[in-house]
Amino acid sequence: MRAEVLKGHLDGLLLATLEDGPRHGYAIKEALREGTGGRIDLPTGTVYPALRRLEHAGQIRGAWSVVDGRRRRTYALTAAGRRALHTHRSSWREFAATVTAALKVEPWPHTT
Amino acid sequence: VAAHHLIGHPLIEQHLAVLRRALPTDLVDELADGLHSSYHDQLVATGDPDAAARAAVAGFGDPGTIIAAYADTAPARRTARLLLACGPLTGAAWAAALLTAPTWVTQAALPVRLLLGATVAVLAALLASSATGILGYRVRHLCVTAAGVGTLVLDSTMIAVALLTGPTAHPVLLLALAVSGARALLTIRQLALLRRAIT
Repeated sequence: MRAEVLKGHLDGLLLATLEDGPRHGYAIKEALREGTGGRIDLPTGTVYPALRRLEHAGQIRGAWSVVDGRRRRTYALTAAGRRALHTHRSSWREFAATVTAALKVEPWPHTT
Repeated sequence: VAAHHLIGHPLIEQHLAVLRRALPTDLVDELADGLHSSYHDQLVATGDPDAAARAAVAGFGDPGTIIAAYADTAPARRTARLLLACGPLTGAAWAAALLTAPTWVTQAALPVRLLLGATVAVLAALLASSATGILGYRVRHLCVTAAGVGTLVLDSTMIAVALLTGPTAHPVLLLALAVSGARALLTIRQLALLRRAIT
């Protein structure tokens, strides 16, 4: 999937991967890739600045641990993050419904 | 695979060295964990360390883009914007105090007033350049820290001089003292946050 299509949705996508529990950066990137059947495969390094931004915004909380001799930062959703995720979902539904109507696409799921 | 995972690969280390020169340890440690995890996954899939390292680096992203992304969201940038926003209010409060207490103004020698003006200009320039996207992570951090310390010294000096030599019970001067004191407290808090962010 082209990167420009994801613009404006990255925060919501990252927050969604943390809904079921804490994850570290690489696991978040992999969850996003696996959850979308490989269609969203972000460059590993670009996920981390976005996570720090979400942490500064108070939407996720990071904690250090040591795994295999390496320092690892694991992130968990905060209450503000859950609220932000809810807002991202609402905005997406509204946007998708509007564009679907404008493009005159059959409502999804479409069964014949 | 386990041994390679622990040892790493020269290509991976080369990539991390570029990031290490531009970013603080905490950020590079986190990036290193991601890059090594990716290398490990590739190694499990291919069994070839060189191919695994090439694939991990290719899928990691350009270091310049990553460094720029961190610089954009750096705590120093937010601090710069915050202190920059406080400037006009503090400046206006002091200008009002100096203008409404003219005898006090004339006591300050011209070189002192020029030094004060130059200090404010330098601090504003440091903060303005740090608030925009032209500086790297470390340089921005240094500039904002220097500007924060300078702002703190400036506020402390103004408060001390006003208390020692200024007119007593002058309402506008009291307002300027309160505004400067509040900014000094805010600056101390921001400097403490910046100190934690650069480890």
